Amino acid sequence: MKTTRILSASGVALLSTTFLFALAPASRAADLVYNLTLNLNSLAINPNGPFSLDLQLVQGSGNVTNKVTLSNFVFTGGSPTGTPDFTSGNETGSLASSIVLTNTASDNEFAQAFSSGTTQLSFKVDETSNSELVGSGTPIPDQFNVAILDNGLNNIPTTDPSGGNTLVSSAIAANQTLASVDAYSSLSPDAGVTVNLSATPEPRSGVLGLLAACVMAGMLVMRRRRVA
Amino acid sequence: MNLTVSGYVFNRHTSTYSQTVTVTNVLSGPIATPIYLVMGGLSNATLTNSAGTTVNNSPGSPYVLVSQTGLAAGASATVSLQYTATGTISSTMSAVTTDGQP
Repeated sequence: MKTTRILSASGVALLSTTFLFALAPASRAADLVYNLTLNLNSLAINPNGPFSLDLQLVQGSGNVTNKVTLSNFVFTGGSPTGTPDFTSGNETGSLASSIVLTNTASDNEFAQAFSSGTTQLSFKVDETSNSELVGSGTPIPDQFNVAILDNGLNNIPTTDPSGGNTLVSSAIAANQTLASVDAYSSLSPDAGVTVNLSATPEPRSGVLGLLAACVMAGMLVMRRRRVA
Repeated sequence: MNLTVSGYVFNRHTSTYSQTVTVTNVLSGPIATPIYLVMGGLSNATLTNSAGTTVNNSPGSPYVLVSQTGLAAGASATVSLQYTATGTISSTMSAVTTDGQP
């Protein structure tokens, strides 16, 4: 009887600790992770090619650090060609593995051409989520932008209301969701490029904590049955 | 009024930055006068699509017209801002409603 009480008390304490760990807020805001697909069929026989993929992280108010990691590049029907057209600011990596953009410069950018047979291009995006909330003036968020460049390295025209001719713009903020990422389509003379965004949920520490709590609870029940 | 401010897009060819600001009328009634967005204390940058500089609100600040006819309750209007910059762009944005000079 005494042994059962001790086990029960220690089990409750362990479970409580585990649940507290599971429910505690993470030390930083959760990353926004999603898959991005560019449908490029319309560019296949366009005289403004070869076209390039342009990835850009632009610093906002400059009071926090954000990082965007791009990986799992898939070029359907084609491939990247040559070396990058240009890089700028804090950019590392390559299309063969992953590219990391960090907002330590005002413009952090990578662009590389792809072959004319490319009908679709997809990759995974992982954005840190630190809001620009400190400093003087109106906070301006860091922003991740995706564009397609023509053979003059000019952005192809899009419906982007900023006039920046991006296909995807993501203003980085805490608690951002996929719904807050803006996607646009291209316009003449390069019309037809569209974007698909889809979520790629990753296990969070809280979910893992709850899973651990369930396992612990199961073990506790089995142990109590043995003692009884 | 509520302001939703985007980040920047950088154009390497023109060395310009662009962004959008969406102004929403969160009042219970309509706003019938023109609405302007004023960039108070703009530093390290020039607003290249400015409609002029203010006289009565943060005098000397560049501004753009958001809506000539105001906004219905709950309605929004989005404007594009274009800058040339020499450093980190900083300003205090505010929406101003006035029949006269902003």
